[in-house]
Amino acid sequence: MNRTSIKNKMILSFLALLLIVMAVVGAARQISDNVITGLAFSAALALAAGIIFGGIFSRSIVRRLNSLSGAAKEVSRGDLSKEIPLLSRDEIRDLEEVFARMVSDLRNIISEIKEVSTRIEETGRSLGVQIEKVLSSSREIDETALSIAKGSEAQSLIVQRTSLVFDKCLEQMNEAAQKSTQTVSRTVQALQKTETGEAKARETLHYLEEVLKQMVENAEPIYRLSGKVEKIKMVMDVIEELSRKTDLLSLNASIEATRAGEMGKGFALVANEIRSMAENSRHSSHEIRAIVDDIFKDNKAVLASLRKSETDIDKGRTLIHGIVGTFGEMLSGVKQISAEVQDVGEASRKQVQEMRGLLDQFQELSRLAHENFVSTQKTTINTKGQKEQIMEIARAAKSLQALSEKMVETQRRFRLPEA
Amino acid sequence: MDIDKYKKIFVQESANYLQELTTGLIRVEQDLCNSNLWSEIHGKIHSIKGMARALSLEAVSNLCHQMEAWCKEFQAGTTAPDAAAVQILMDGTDLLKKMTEAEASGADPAADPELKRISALLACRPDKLDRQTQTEPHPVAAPSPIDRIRVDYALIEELLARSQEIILLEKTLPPLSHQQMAAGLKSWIDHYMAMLRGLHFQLARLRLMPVQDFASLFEKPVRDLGKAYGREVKLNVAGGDLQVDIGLMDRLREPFMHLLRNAVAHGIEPPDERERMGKSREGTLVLAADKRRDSLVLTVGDDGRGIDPNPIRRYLREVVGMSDPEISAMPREDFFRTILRLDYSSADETTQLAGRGIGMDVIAKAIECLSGALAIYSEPSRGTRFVISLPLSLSIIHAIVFRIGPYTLAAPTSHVASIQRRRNGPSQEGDHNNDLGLRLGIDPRERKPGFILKLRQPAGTEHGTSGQPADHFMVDAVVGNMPLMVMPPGELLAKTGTFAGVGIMEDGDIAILLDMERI
Amino acid sequence: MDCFVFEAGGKRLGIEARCVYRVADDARPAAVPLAPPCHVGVIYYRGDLFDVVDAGLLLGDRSSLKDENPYVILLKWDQHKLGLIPERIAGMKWIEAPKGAEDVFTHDGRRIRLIAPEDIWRLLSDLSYGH
Repeated sequence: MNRTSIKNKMILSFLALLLIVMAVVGAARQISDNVITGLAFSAALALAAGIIFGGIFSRSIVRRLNSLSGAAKEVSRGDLSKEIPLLSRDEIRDLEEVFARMVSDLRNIISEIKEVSTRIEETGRSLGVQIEKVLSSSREIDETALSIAKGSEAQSLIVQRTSLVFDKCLEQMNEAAQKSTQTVSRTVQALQKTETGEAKARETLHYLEEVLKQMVENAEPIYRLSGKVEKIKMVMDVIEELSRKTDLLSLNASIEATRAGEMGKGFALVANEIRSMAENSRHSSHEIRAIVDDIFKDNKAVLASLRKSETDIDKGRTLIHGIVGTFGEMLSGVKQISAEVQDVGEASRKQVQEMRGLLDQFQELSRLAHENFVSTQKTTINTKGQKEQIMEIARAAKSLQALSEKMVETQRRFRLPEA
Repeated sequence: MDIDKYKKIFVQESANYLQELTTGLIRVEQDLCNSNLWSEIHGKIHSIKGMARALSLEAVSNLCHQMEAWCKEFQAGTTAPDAAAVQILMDGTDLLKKMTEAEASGADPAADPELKRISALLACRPDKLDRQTQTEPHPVAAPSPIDRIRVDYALIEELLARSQEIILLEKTLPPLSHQQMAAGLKSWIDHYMAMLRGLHFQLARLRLMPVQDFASLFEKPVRDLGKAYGREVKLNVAGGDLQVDIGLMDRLREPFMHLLRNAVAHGIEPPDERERMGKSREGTLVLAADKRRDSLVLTVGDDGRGIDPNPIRRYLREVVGMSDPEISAMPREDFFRTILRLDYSSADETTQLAGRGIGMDVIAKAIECLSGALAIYSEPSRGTRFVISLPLSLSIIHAIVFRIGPYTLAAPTSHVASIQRRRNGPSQEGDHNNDLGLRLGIDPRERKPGFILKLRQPAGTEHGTSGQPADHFMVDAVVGNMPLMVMPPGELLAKTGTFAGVGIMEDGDIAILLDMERI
Repeated sequence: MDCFVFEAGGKRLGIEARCVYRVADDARPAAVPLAPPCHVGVIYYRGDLFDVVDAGLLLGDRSSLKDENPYVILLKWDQHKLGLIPERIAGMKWIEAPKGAEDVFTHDGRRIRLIAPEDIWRLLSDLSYGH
């Protein structure tokens, strides 16, 4: 670029002026020969020209300087958006250029700052959001921890109460267990006694049965005899029936034989003989029957007396059976009771054990609850501390945010050209 | 239903007649002019016609009528029969058989083409037969299936006796052991016995024989009697197909013999005398059987000189002491019944062979034994008829068997309206009259009345003769309503006048049947 | 002649063999009302009805009935059927008897009174039946 220095300019201009004046003077001179008017006119003209040139000249400088200062003002106000016009070609241009450079440098810096500050702002904002979140969740944790704490407090209270109750129960069960053990021992005694009684009864019974067996053995032949007599009687009955039938048959045969007339005579004889035979057998069977009846009668008497003693023994036997039975029932009853009692004892012991176990578990539970409680309390504390730290962070973040906001605000003052 | 039943009976009865008709025609073929045979043939056709008419079997009765017309001519001798005519009649008989069977099976009897042909032939007079119109001999069929057999009575008696023995055998059964009882032996035996009793009961129904068979027993004796007394006699049988109890008939053998003997000896006149009187030389004895609703009516008749009333009148006047007007006022039956009196004997007759008097009481007694009645009809020179009516004894009737006191009795179910339990209350006074127990002379202490049998009169019976009829019986126990085989009460039981018979139950036990008309 | 000999009502009696049909021992007579006391009942034996009578009461002076199942002598003659319950049965005996004699002697010297069935029947018929 052609730089023309101001000086040059001034020289030029002065020369110009001189020329002009000269011109003018020259002109004036022509016009007027008045030197005074000429001078006046030349002075006027020179003055006029000088004012004009001066005015123009200074104006241009002033103008440029004004615009520069105007720009500088704007810059100082923060508006970096306007371009500095590079109008001059003289030393002012240097100024302009320097100025322009300065403005662009400023612009850059400012835009960088803008960027950074924007970013900071963003970061600050997001950090703020995060912190809020953390805050709120830590609030929740806090609440939860509180409620847990409350709960575990309650829990541990309940557990304590329960374990008290359990203790009482245990006491009672122990007592019961003791009592049942006593009962068991007593019933075992009773059982033993009953067993002895039953055994004795059985012995007696056995003995009686032996006696009876003996008697029965002795009576065997008599019974057999009676049985035999019965058999004989049956046979007799059959024989009698037979002879009766034969009798009848022979009667009818004789009738038929008679009807047959001559032919039947021989048959009639036979029939008669059969009849008399039947008659004889009937007689004999009658006799036998009489004898048998006698024997039977005797036998009956013996049997009767046998039966009587048998009945007595039977009665005794029934009695003893009854007693044995009763004993047996007693025994089984007692056994049952004893078994049940033992079962009960067993059951209650088991119960005690289980209760104990339960109690242990409860205690464990209680301990756990307590631990829980404690830990929740710790947690609460921790969360509290944490919270405070977080609060600090929050505060820091807030201040950072504030700063960044400020920054943003500040750099907002600087207007940048639309990019 | 009823018509079918009667049709069945018709077929059965006519089958018999037709069989005899065929036999008769065969016989007459050998002896064309035997008017007796023709009259028999005529009689049989007439019987069939009568039955067919009763059942409105037009076709059959018309054919019979035509055949009958011819027989009448042949019998009267106005036309001489010849072999061809007999053949036509035989064809007619075959046709009748087919037609009766058609009637029974519901087919149309008039559908047989033979009917037209034979009707046409029979429509002409027998001697005006156009011999040329004889058709070709038609095929001869085999005899009809065997549906009846003749059995020896002895065999039936034997069967009955045996079956009863078998039944009685049960009583000899030895006592059963427990195992046997448990194994069902007892129930098997009971079942077995029940079947046996049923068998026995059925066998008892075999004791029926046709009157014809009974009558034919007398053919020879009649012939012999005729010879002995110098008379010409023949024996006719009517209603021979009726079935009657053999036992019953057996009881009538002697009485009938007496009657026939009397008839031949005193009733039928010697041939010459008969001729003189304008009668046929040969006298006719008739044995007729007929079934009325409840009774069997047997008639022994002759066409001789009738019973001489004079000795009877004399007897009544002298021995009984009746006056003439009284005698004349007597109804004819009663008049003649006088001869049945024990002390009556026509003193005129002293022949060795029994006179009228002797033998009559036998007859009277026999009939009384069978709870029957005897009526005597006689007209001078015309003949005599002895009409015996017997209650249809061997029948199987349904009766209510009950116990009263120590007795087991029965009343026909048709006479019992209802059986009710007797409520234990005070005995009403009206019971007295109706108390069967009292009537039967049962000790009231033996009674434990538990049931009342309300009685009714079945339609058509008359009221009993003993005043007010009972309308209910008080009985101790009711055994049941069951079929009873009723046998006539014996002479002794008949004397009580209270019993209609002795009923045999299916298990062989006895219940005495009350005569409801007389209670 | 052959004679069936039995005892009843304290008497020793005999009947002509020709009228004797059977001796039965398993009859159970069914009682008939309005019959006289000696009429024990009727039985149905092998197809026939027999009137059964206490021979002792009818022919003698004491009843022959002792046990449940008495022997019954079944008589059949003419049209009649009758059963007699005796005290004791002697059986079929051969007797030489002049016709018409009532008292006869058997070959072992015992006296028997002969009776004809018709006489028995008449005795029976003459009793009162009904009231």
